[in-house]
Amino acid sequence: MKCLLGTLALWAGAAGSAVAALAWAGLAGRRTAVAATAAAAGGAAAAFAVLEWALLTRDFQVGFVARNGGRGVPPYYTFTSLWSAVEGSLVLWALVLTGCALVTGLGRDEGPHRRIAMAVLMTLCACFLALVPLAANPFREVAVPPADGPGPNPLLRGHPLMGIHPPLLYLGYLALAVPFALGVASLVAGHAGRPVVRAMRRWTLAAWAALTAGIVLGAWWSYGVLGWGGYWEWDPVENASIVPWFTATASLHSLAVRDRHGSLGPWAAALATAGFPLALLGTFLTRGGAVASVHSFTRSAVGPPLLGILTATLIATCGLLVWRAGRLRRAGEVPGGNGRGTPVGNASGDGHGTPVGNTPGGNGRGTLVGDARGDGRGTLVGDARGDGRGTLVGDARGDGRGTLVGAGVALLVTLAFTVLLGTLYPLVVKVLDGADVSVGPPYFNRVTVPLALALLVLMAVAPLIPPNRARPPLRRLAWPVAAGAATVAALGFGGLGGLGGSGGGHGPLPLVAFGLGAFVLAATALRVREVAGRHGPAAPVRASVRRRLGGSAVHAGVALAAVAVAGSSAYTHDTRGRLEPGDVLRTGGYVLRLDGVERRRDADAMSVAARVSVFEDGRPAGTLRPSITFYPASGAPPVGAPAVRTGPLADLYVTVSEVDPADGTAVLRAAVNPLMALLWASGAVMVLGALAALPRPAARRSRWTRWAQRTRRTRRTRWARQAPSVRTGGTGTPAVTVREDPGGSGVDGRETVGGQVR
Amino acid sequence: MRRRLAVAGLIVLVALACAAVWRAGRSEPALGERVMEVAATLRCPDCQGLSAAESPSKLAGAMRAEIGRRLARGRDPESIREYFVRRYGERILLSPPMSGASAALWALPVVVLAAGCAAVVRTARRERPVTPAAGRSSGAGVPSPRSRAGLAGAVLLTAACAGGVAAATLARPDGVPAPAPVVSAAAPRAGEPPESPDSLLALGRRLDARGETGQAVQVYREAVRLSPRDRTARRLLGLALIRAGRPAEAVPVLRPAARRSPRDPDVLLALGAAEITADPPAGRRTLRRFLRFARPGHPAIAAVRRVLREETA
Repeated sequence: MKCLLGTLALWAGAAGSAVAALAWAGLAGRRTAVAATAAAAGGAAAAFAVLEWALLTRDFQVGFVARNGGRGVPPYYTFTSLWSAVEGSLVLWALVLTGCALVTGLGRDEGPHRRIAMAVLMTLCACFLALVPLAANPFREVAVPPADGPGPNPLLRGHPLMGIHPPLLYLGYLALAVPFALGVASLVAGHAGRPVVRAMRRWTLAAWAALTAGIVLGAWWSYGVLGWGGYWEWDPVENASIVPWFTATASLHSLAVRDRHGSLGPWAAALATAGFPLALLGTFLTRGGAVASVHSFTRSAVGPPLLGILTATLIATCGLLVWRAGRLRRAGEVPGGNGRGTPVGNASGDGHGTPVGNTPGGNGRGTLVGDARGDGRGTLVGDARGDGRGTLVGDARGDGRGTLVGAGVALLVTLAFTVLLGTLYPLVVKVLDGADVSVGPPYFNRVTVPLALALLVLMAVAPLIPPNRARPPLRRLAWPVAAGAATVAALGFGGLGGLGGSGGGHGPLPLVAFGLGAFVLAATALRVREVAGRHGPAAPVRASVRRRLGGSAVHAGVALAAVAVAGSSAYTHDTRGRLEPGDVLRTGGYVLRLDGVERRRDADAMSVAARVSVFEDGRPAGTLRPSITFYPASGAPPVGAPAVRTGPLADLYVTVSEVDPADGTAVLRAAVNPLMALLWASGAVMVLGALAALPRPAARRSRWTRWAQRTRRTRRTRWARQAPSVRTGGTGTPAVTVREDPGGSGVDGRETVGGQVR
Repeated sequence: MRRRLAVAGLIVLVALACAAVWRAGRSEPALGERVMEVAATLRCPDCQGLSAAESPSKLAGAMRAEIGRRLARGRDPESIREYFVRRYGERILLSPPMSGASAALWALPVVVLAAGCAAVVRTARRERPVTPAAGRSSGAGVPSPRSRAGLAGAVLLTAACAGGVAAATLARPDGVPAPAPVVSAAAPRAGEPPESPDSLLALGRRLDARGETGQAVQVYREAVRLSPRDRTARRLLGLALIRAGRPAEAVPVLRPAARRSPRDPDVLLALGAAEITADPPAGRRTLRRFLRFARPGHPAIAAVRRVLREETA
């Protein structure tokens, strides 16, 4: 019964998606389209629910449960085993994709762009929802249901992060589908104004936050489960997640620049559309069985259809980019119109656009009106405060920040390209030459580390350049440079305190990374002080300020992550040994004593653990129990579970690789991994910063905020009427209403003035 | 005055930092670290995605010991890598060399970065002049005829769909092998008649010939389980394990067969090949025994002599 229900739900979802795609494409009204979209999401949700139900009730008649369920598996891991194999993963994938589509469909209207984007999204939904029952149906009925199943892959049932890491990663991948669809829509339409750019920015940021969280949690999972002590191995699955992360980061920055320009340029469009096909490519590579990886737990027949969807997406996207990107460039460049007599930036008839954003002379970017709604400083007069930066004429020499951001985008694209190249290279050689070649950490580290260091420099310097200045003011860089140099000098000559246990023979790289980390942190602190100081204590309330502070937090998080990565990869030291009970193993200030070996038998698992007493500087510091577990039903090799003692500066990481129950000996490996806690914390800082910067969509505005905004609007309107600039802009009130867009306009007073001059 | 002091302080700090970096770059790493550095560039042959530096497996341990021995004898990392490449093939290298066909791998990122930077510089140059881009608008805004755009869109859509379908159908034959028959053969369920060892060996050979070494190993293992005294099954399993890059596992499989038939050159050859990586001294002994018992003209004799020469060198 569940088999039938689940399959029906999947087909209903697919049918709903197809209808919705046609409806959004213009064959039916908005109501029908939204209803069909909701039906598609409902179908996917129902399939998900039925599969979970079958798993939790252990209904082995359902094929997926027979292959991945087990009576001895605890309920939590039974729940998470839905995404431990490819069929269930695809159901989750479809659910998240339809969910994103539904949110986009219900959201604010963005004119013709949204209709096209929704049609694209729903076509994708239809493809995936049809792919599940056709190529990888989890609901296929088993003729003779077994009495018990093997349970999920043993590696996927030993760590609580299994519950959130894969869904977050999927959310990250699939939220990228929305900017992809909007980018396709912009290419089809040949123009895109600020509301579209904002929507793309919002979704890319949301995807970025989810992707970051997913990647960091995945690294944590791999640290806590795989047991070799590392967290990142440039494995194909890891690469598949980091490539879209790089392009999403690049896309966020280029969209921010385009937001200031008020229109979507060809490069920004290309970057925004690249993320989702790359995520698809990664999924195909790893889930379709094309490359082997420690994380790809499945081999199945979805490879060819996935490749089909991927190829179609790639052809369509590349074709559109080649064919239409030039149009976007012209639309962005020509002030006032694209030949059809309508202003380009906002006049897509979307209900937001008013002519003001496009007043002749302002190419959708800086307008005089835009200034007036600033914070009272950004007027023509107010800006000439004599601090040598914000004057009208003196500073319009170039856009130094824009150039640096562009260089950063180029670096990020190069990083994405490098990782993709390294991942695909073995496949290409295999196909062309038949030879087995591997591309591993030595290649990736050698190429990406210099790029990453350059990126650190850029992300420290770029935010410090005032908009529309050509060069960074050297004086403002003095403090960050001093901080970086002092860090390098202190660590280089003074030793590394708790970190460098085994002398300084590690080469200059970690020192440079630490110095750059301090440089970025100091520069970011300067920037935060500046932004917060400019806007007073109530600053974080305003969307634009919140976004800037969030961005600074993300930059600080990246710097911390760089420090943590450099420290943990350079200063790890480990000891291995075969111990008899009572023997000790020494590593970096710790003494470990093997007390004995414990054996345990659970419902479906056998495990042996080594009981290890830890002494730190001679004092007892607790007991650790690294273990090996064997699940006979799964037929997989036994999995080790490391025991980790987390400290603020360094982790003690103990694994056991062999246990001889006869004489009680065990082979232990004890490692001191420095700065791991900092790495996880930096991930949290990045995600929280991104969430803080995330603008709240208008649809979710509460009555209270609406009221507050109305009052503010009235106040500002009154104020704006008095400002001289408004009179120049001409249209007064409507412009101000436009700028009240809670998406966070981010048009800084000074920036606007500069834009105006151009 | 204060400002000058600050500038001087900054200069001193930066100079100190440069000195610290220079000092760190000059210090000589210890032997253990150098072993790890070399091992980090080599794959652990019997695990997935790990380097020989990180893997806890026995084989990786043997590799580290070998690297240490050779470093202590004064060999440079490059020649040590070559030694392992001769033994396992190019696959043992975790990253391809910068020369030859793989040079593109190293050069392309630089090309992309250069192109990206050039684009940024061009954009910055183009954006600097403040002139309203009126001159460029000529022709830009002339909308192409609606029908032509529609036609192009339809062509693109058709091309995308056709490409997708073509990719899906082309990928099917050799994309993912249907694992069903193999699995049923490798792990016969209770109730089904057990497969005969001979048919299993035949299946394993077929899989082996198709390059499905992993599945061949499974099938051979099943055959060894069914008839543990069959030395052909053991020999085939051992060879498949060596081909799969797991020679350490092959040794315990082959040793019983070599004990039972100590003069079978084929068994000795397989065992020697497995041992030479996992346990080199024993491997040398076994391979010498192989040379003693192999009939003249055995195709492997020359290769074994070469390996032994290299080993003793």
